Parts: sequence; structure tokens; C-alpha cells
Amino acid sequence: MAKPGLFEKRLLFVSGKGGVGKSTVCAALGLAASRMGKRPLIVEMDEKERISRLFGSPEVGYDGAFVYQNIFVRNLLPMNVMDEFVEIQVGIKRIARQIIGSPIYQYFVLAAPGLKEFVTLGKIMLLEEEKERGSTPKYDIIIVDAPATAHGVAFLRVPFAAAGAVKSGFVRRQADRLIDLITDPARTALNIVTLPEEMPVNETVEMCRSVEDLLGIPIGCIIINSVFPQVLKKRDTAVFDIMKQRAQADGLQKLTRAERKTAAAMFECFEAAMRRRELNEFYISKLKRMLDYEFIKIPFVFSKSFDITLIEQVSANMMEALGK
Amino acid sequence: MSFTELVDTKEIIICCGSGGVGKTTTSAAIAIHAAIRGRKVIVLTIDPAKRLANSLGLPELGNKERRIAADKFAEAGISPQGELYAMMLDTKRTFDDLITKHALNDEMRDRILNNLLYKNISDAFAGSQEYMAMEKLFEIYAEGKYDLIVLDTPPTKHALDFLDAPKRMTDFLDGSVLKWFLKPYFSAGKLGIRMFQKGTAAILRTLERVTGISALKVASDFFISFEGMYDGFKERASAVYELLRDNATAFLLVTSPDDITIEEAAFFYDKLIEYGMPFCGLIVNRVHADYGLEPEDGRAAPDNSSEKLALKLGDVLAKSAVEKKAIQVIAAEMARNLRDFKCLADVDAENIRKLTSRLEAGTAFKTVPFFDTDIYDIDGLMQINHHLFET
Repeated sequence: MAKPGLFEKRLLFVSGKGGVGKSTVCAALGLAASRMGKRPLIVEMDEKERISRLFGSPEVGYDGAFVYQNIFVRNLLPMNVMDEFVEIQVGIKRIARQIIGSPIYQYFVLAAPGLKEFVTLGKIMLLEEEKERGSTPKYDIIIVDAPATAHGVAFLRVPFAAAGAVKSGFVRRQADRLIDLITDPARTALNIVTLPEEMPVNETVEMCRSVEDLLGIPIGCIIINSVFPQVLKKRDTAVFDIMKQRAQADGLQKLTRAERKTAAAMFECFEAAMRRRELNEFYISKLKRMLDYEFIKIPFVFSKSFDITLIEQVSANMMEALGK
Repeated sequence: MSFTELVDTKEIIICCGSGGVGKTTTSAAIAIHAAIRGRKVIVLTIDPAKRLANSLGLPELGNKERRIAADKFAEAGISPQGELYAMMLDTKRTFDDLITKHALNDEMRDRILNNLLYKNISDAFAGSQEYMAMEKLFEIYAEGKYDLIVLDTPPTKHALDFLDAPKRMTDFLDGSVLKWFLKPYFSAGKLGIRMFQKGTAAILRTLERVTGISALKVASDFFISFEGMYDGFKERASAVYELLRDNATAFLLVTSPDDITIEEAAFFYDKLIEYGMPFCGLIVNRVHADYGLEPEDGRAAPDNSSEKLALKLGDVLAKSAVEKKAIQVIAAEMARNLRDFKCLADVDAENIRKLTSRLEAGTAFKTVPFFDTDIYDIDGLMQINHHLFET
């Protein structure tokens, strides 16, 4: 039986070193899912919302909103999830507010290791189970912009730690259900975004190792973002070498001064692009040598406008890489 | 003050900024320059790339001062007047040392070091890495062995974490409210809940339902163990804070020119000013070169000029008709590539302008180009210095 494809799962966690484009990839995954006729939910957990902005939408906050077509986004700040949880548990709004406002509560949530994360994962599980008109799931796929590598592992480890520490009761039942969900390869995949550069690649390998060794959460794809294009095809190398040789000799004498300057820049940045590509390829092959997962390469985007055109482009690249 | 003047006169230089912008290499490069200028300098770093650590001869194990051997410099063709040391920070160990130092007796020390909550926070508590970086900085400064300490800060997602770390840690450890409610609760056992007012009892019951009693017990033990140590911690944290604000300290903001990191850098800059920290300079790494193509009269060159030039290159470089066609194909690709790079350079320049427009006149500011090879040895670091310190 073939492995279920990325978009056949219900829950996609997306992690990776800070600054590699996790949010962009989450937005692109959401858009790709939407294009495939699915109803996606994107979850982020950030003081400063990014996903909504990428779609050119106003901030969506905790309750969330549609940001683009049928793409729903929620910003589940752990402290807010915790507050909501207390409200539901207490049942009486006035008392709940009193609790949430009390310094004891604030300190406690801060001090209890993993509590916020535990409740947040619980919330994500609830969203995964949410139904519409009786039986159809409200969301076809949930994409979670998870914390960066080291924090991401700590985040996903919480239910395992809870199950280890608590033998029975509500917390234990919740932890067991969470573990069932996040270790189920039919429903869940952890995807790691990286750049083809030294530090992000090292962190990706480290993260895969700790997830494999400690957690057993199924790893889906390694998404290699911003791969520099190959500007010169191998068979054209000889021609380029001739061009360079002649240019360095007296080949450009007939050009005007301004033209010579531009031509020099053309040669210089063409070679810079080749060196960058070469370095990228070095780190991509390192990744492939060290990890045995599906890889998605997303080409470098030159426009650098952080908006829907970028998401469209990345999404299209991703679909192409997945052969959709 | 220029970067060279800062390196010559300051006693502490703190490189801060988002993750992935090259803080570690920048810190190492600055430290090398200081050594060349004759100072005895130590660079305190968090998580250097393995190759950089290896090439500087840094051991894997943390918290060990190591002198960079003269032959490492000799390989790069320099012989510094001063001395360069490096240390990799080990958060956990620094925290353990701190506990050991402040604990009133061995039993207290062991009780804390073995507490489950302590094990968790000393490693992963938000801000503990930041706080320990400060702690180590203070310790090394107090020893007075070095003329200059260069601190490479942990990559914080939220700039706030770093500056708030000392205060947050003391607030957390002080937690007088927490102490107040945990202690009688546990010494009285579960029935103790009745001792509290209705509201507090509700809170405790809710928290118990969420977490199970064990978490509360661990937390309680932890805070009770800490009793008697709070004052020492608090004093220390405020001393660290004062040191950061001291005139002998310089904060340098390191960033890349990407939209997101520039935004974070601007936010961080505001915070530094708000907290009264001595902000002294901005370094923008990974900047794409514009290849000097900015037209001198300010008017942009026509868009198709490089395409025309591509055709012309075919004319001037080819020696046959077949060659000409092949050359023009590649030249067209080169023209497109140049346009792409120009686009990157434009975006970078615009983002940098957004940030520098907020700086006071006279603030040290340099850009370092995007290197298309990895920087992992002194030779490479000297390349960075070439951009940071040349006048």
C-alpha cells in the first residue's frame, strides 16, 4: 500500500529553525490544500501574527477568521488557550474571569512546566475533532505553525511527559488521546522546513533524530526553502568559459564604458549565483545523505514581496514538487 | 563612535538580534579585531556552527575558556598584539553553578538540583538561556581578567526576552504570591484548601483538575527549596541589569535585510532605547550587492538595456554565427540573473533605509555583503572585518 500523501493527513505540524520561512510554508500548504478542494485551518501561536498578514488579511486573533477564500486561520496563543480552558472548566464566567485575573493563576501557569503547551495541543485535538452538521469534519486539514526546532521538540514532547508523570485521571486520558493522534501516521505528520545552509541543515538533522528517538511522531516532508536556481546548464559551461576568457582578454573593447560596467556585473553576479547554487547543492546532498524522508524543494523567490503573490508562487512550486 | 573606536574603548560588547542573522560570526569577527588592536578579549558564544568552533579550536563542552592559538592566526597571516579567548556557554551548567553558589548548604543545593521543576526550567524555561548568558557575562566581568568581553546572545524570537530576562527570572523566583499560597497549602495537605477564601479555593481546584496534584507538589517543593536564596538572586539580577546599562557596555544590533528580521530589529531597537540600554551601532549582514549599477544621475536605466547588451555580447564575443547564437542564449540568462540580483539589492536597500532612518546621526552602521561561501575560519572572519572596520 502506498504511503498516504501529505494532503491526505488531517494534521500537519510545521517546524524548523527560526528564519527559514516556516510561516510562508504554512500559508502555502494552506493555499495548496484549498486549491485541492479541501477546507484548511492554519494555526499559529505567535505574539505577532504572520499568517494573516501573508494573506493580506487583518489580524484574526484567537477566534480566527477566513483570510483568503476558504482558508481559516486562528492564532492560538497558549495563554489564551489556557484562559479559555479555565472558562470552560469553571463554567461560570464571573468566577472564571476572577481566576484568570488572579496573580496566583498567572504564576502557576508560568511555573507549571508544559501546562500551556499541553492545553494548546489539546485545543488542536479538539479542532481536529470538530464536526459540522453532525458528521462531516469542520476542517479537512489542520496546518500548525509549530515552535522552532528545539522548542518544537519540547512542545511535542509534552503529552509524552504528561503520560509518564500522571498515572490516571483527566490529564492521563487527555495525554493518551494526544499521543494516539500525533503518532498516527494516517492522520499526522511533522514537517520540517529548512534552508540549504549549514546551521538550518544541522538543526533539521538534530530535530529528526530527537523526534525519531524520543517521540515516534511520523515525519512527513523535509521542505527545503529558497533553493537557488541553476543558472547555467552543464552543457553550456564550455560556452560560458569561452565568453569569460574573451571578455577578460579584449572582447569587450568595442562596448561603451557604461556597457562594459554592466557586462562586468553580469559576469560577476552570474558566478555568484553559480557559487550559491553549488553551496545549496552541497547542503541538500548532506541532508539527503543523513535523512531518509521525502524532500520538497522550493525555489528561491526573487520578488521578496511578502504577500499573496509570494504564497501563490510557493504554493505552486510545492504542488509541482509533490507531483499534483 | 566607529566600530573600531567601540572595540578600542568599551569593556563589554553585546551583539543582539534575531536568529539566523549571523550574530555568532559577527561576534567572533569583532573579537578578532579587538585582539589585533591589542586587547585581551573573550568572545562568549551560545551555539556556533560546528565548523567555526572546530576551526577556532573550541571544545564541544561548554563553559571552558579557551585561548585561540597563535598558529590559527598565523594560518591567516596575522599576528595579533592582544589575546583572543572563546567560551561556549552551557545554560544548564551555568544555572547549576549559580544554585551551588547561592545555596545555603549542600542539602538545599541537592534538593533544588534534583527537583523535577528545576530540571525543566533550568533547561527550557523561557528566558533561562538569556538569563544565564547575562549571568556568565557578569561573572566574567567581575573576575576582571579581560579588557573586553564580546557576548553573542541567544537567538530569541521575541526581542523582549533578552532584556526582560533578569527581571523575569527574579519575578519568577521571588514569586511571593506563589510562595504564600503554596506553602500553607501543602504543609496543611489537601484539606488546606478550606483555609483559603472561596476564590482562591476555586483556583486551586481548577488547577488541580487540570494538572493533577503532582505538578503542584513539585512546584511547591521547588519554591520552598528556594527560600533564603531569593535575596541573593535578586541582588545579582539587579547588578546584571546595572552592568548592561553601564557606559562601558555597548549594544550592537545585528540583522539581515529581510522584511521580517528588519521589522524585528526595529522593534528591538525601540526596546533598547526604552530600557535605556547603551545602543551603539547597527550591523546588517547578508546584504546583496548592487554591483555599482546605481546610475550616477539618479535615473534608472531602461529595463531592456541588459537584454540589448546580451545581444551585443553575442556580437562582440563570438567568432562564428553558431557561437554567436549560443553566447546570446547564455548572455540573456546572465541579463535575467543580473535583474534578479538587482531586485534583491533594491529590496535590501529599501529595508535597510527603513531601519537606518530611525537611528541617531553618528551611530556606527555598516553593511556586510552576502557571502556565497561559508565563513568558518579566521580567514573568513577577516573578510567580515574588512567591511566592518575599514574606514
